[in-house]
Amino acid sequence: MKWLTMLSLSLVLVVAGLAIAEERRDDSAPDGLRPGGTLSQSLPAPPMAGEPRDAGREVLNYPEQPPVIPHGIRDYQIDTRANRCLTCHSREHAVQAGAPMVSVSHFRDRHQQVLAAVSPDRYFCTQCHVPQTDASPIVSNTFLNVDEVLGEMLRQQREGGGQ
Amino acid sequence: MPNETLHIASLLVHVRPEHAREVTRWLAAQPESEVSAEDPSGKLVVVVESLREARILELIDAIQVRPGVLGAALVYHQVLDPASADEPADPVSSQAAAEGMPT
Amino acid sequence: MKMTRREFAKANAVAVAAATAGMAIPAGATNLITNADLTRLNWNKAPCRFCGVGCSVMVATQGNRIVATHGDIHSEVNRGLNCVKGYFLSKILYGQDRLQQPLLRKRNGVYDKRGDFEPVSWDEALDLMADKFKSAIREHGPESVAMFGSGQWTIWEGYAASKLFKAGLRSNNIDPNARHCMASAVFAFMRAFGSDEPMGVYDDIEHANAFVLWGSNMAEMHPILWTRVTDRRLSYPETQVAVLSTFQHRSFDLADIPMVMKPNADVVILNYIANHIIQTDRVDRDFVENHTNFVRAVDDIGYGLRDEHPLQQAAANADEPNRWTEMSFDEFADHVADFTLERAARESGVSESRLERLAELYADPDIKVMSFWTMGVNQHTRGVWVNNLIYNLHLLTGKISEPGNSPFSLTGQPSACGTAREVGTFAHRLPADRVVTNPEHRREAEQIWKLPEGTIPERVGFHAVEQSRKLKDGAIKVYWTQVNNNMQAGPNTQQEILPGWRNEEAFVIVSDIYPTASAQAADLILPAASWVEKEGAFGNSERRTQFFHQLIDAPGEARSDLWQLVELAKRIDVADVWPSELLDKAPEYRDKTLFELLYANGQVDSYPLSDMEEGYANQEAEAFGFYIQKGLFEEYARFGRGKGKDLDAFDNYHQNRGKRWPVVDGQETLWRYREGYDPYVEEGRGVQFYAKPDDRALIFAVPDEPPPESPDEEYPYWLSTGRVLEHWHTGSMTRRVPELHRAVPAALLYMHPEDAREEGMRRGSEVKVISRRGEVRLRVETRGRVTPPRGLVYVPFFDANRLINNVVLDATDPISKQTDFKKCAVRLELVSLA
Repeated sequence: MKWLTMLSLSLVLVVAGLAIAEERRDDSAPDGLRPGGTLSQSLPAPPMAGEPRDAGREVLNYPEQPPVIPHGIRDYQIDTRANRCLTCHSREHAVQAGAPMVSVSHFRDRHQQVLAAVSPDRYFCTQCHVPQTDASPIVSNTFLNVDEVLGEMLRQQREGGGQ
Repeated sequence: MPNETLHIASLLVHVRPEHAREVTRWLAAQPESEVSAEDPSGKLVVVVESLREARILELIDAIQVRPGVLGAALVYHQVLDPASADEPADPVSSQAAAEGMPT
Repeated sequence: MKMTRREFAKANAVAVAAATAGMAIPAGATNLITNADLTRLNWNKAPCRFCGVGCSVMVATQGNRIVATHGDIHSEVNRGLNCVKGYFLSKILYGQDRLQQPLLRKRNGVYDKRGDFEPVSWDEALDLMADKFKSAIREHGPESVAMFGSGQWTIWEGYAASKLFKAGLRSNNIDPNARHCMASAVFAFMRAFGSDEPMGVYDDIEHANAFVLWGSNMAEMHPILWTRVTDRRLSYPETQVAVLSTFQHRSFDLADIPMVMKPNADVVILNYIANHIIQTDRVDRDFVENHTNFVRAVDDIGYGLRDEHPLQQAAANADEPNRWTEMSFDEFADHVADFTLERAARESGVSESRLERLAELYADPDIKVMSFWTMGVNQHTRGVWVNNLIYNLHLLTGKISEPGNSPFSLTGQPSACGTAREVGTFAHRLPADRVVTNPEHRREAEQIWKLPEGTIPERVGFHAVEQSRKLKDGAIKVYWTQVNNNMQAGPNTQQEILPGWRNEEAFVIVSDIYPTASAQAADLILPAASWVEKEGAFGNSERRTQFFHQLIDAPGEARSDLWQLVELAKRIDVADVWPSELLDKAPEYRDKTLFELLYANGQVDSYPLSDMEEGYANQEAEAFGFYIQKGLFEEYARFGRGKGKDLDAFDNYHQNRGKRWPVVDGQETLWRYREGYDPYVEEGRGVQFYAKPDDRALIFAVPDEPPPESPDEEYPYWLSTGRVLEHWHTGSMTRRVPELHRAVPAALLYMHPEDAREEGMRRGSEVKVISRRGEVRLRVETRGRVTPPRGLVYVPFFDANRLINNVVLDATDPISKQTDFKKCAVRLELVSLA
């Protein structure tokens, strides 16, 4: 019995030793989307991201940014027969459904002519509007919107003036 | 860090147009705030000047519960040294401002 | 009037709030701040940084930062629309971890292959690079250095790099990542027409009444062109859309003829359609007799694997796969007669009725048909053949080179056409369709470049996959990659690429804007400038060349690829890298640097800084003292003028939304080879494929040959890889945009729910995908945007933490050397049910 335990223990050590040797093949490197020094490894897959709970509408980064979708759209049908998005967001239904109406920009065609309905070239909503999961950013983003940049410029000017 | 700081902020307040007058009046009555601009759709630009940063947030909270107010958001915030606040602004800024002036 | 600081701050507060609300600045405040510099956004045009569609976007800058982007309504390509990636362009440069200084692996203060990265100065980095290049060439010859570039290089970056390698270092070992993307299309164009790139344009969409997607998922990969197809289909209900793929995807949402086929069955289907056209007597006899020749391609051409691989050993024509012999129309008809409807249906799994409807789109003379394809066809061990088979259908019916009748090869990258193909940054190419193996072409290039005869080597350099193999074998000693991420995007990562890059023999340099998987595997990382941080030019899928200005500065010490290339050239003397026999032919270069040889050559440096448009920064021009982008472009443009590849004058492109070449007398060309549209067609000829010696395009007879690896008992599933709408290639830019990342945060394994059930897996289960080459761990998705048939799984490659190319086979099309990323055999192993 003792002997068996010894054997299995040493096996564990051998396996662990191999694992360490395996890891040593990776030279160190800065972290990016992937942690540095892990290229030869098969990383575990994180659980699938979920849809955010009680997501409100998000403020746009700039006027022409397509709003992101604050709700799940799994199994929504959008094809030549039906467009599930428009059942709530169309001009006719938006008020009753309590959903924002598609932007007026969507009633203009390729030649800027105004149409009675959503332009066919805007038909597939998910080319521009994407739902948001609850995933956290891997790397943060330092984009500043115009107000933040103006504020920053004014701050710099002020500091520049104080020198 | 100076002992005392002067906070200059601006808020964008959105009110139902029919309530605009009374909200404006209320804001004017507050010691730290002044309404600098408004438009017919019910948007107000409010400038706040205070020695306490927290006061700005308190004011936003207070505005948000006024009747007819749809929202109030902090847009701009700058910290000045009160001791030098009334000295002339630096040349770059003055020039920047001067360029925009109608002659 | 003097303002106090208090007044000034209050005025700014008002102005900013008013601007935010879109209100006029109140009268009381106008005397305080309406300085244009502060409140007015600076808007400029630029082509999108992502795919080959080449949408134009408007970029707003303020305070040396991008603050907004939106679709450019003046662009004919996209008329104000963008896809979700395009709308978030403003954020791609602002990932927290932008590389801002060179990083070198060091131990005890000196470079060490096994060392840790430390910041170094540009001088230290470039001096070391120059030493490595010089010593490698001195000790091992010019074939010991190599570069992997990109269809995301600007035109002048690709041109400068190609010139540095082919003329300066005298090595043809330079290849773009377009090898993974467009090489099969390039070879098929050259075989069939003698000139690269489509005869048609996007305008064909508004003229066609049938669209056929050959293995392409335009809804996700070319979204703005898809909006145009959608517009046409929904506005004109008689329009038909046929979508053929090995799995169901979003483009099927618009399909009138949806078809899921078995992998590799496209050859059979295409040959069947040719047969159908002939059998039903709908060949355009006139067109075929006057404008085409029939040829039989050599068969049994192997799979582009390593020479010692048994499949290569067994292939009769693996050495010379790009050959053909003449045949008659009747022989061609005999050849395709074997490909019956019944056989096509049996071998593809698509129903006879749908295949027949598809065939009729080509056969019916009243239907104007546009064919689209990209990676499904190009990334294929028979990719060149399939490209040719599509042209066959358009040539047999004369449905080509006229509005609405258009075989249209879509492009993956923003400048795969403009840079990789037109500039000729492939290992076998020179600018404007020239090749290194042709002595006349080499001589023309040497003359334009003012080089002695014999400077450009004759031998074709190492292509992308071969570069990885040569690194592993120790033959490449110095390797430089720019604007690509081959550690994640290249095939068979663990067996070929990673061991190659970490080979003690090799010094690997990666230029990038973020620490990508490739940067992590490098020895020297160079921080790059990107997109509108430099002046640039891209060429899109419809031959449209588009320019952009530098609009902001790159962060920290980051510098453009062009600056990096030229700075390296300053540090290498001609005498360091040229043999004495060549120097004897041009003794005037003996004491010159490569910079003087290639860039300060009296041509590239002939445009002064005063030529630059006022109001725009230009880091490189200011650094080198001349308008280098204009000099490179104008020297390069000489290659194509008068050869059917004419580009307009440099300055014009900054003023317009691009022009489609050939641009002759300032006029762009929409339909090539057709009289009335293309100025190169001689009067009275109607149609003229003038890039071929006898003005005739080739129709190819090719057989059906099996793939190199198919599912078996041990590895029972097909694996196909690709992209998703929200992420661009390896995700290095788009995964740093919060909205795009949250939309698609990780790569998933898309599979059929019945397959999952049989494997004891379910949606959300963690599984290992294992091939003969490696493995990767993923979560199962059975209800996603992609619905594979039984027996096939799909995994996108954007996710750096799930390197699906560990699994992919490094087999290529033997002619184009383009990897087949669309089919190999895998098995699945459950890790946890979840």
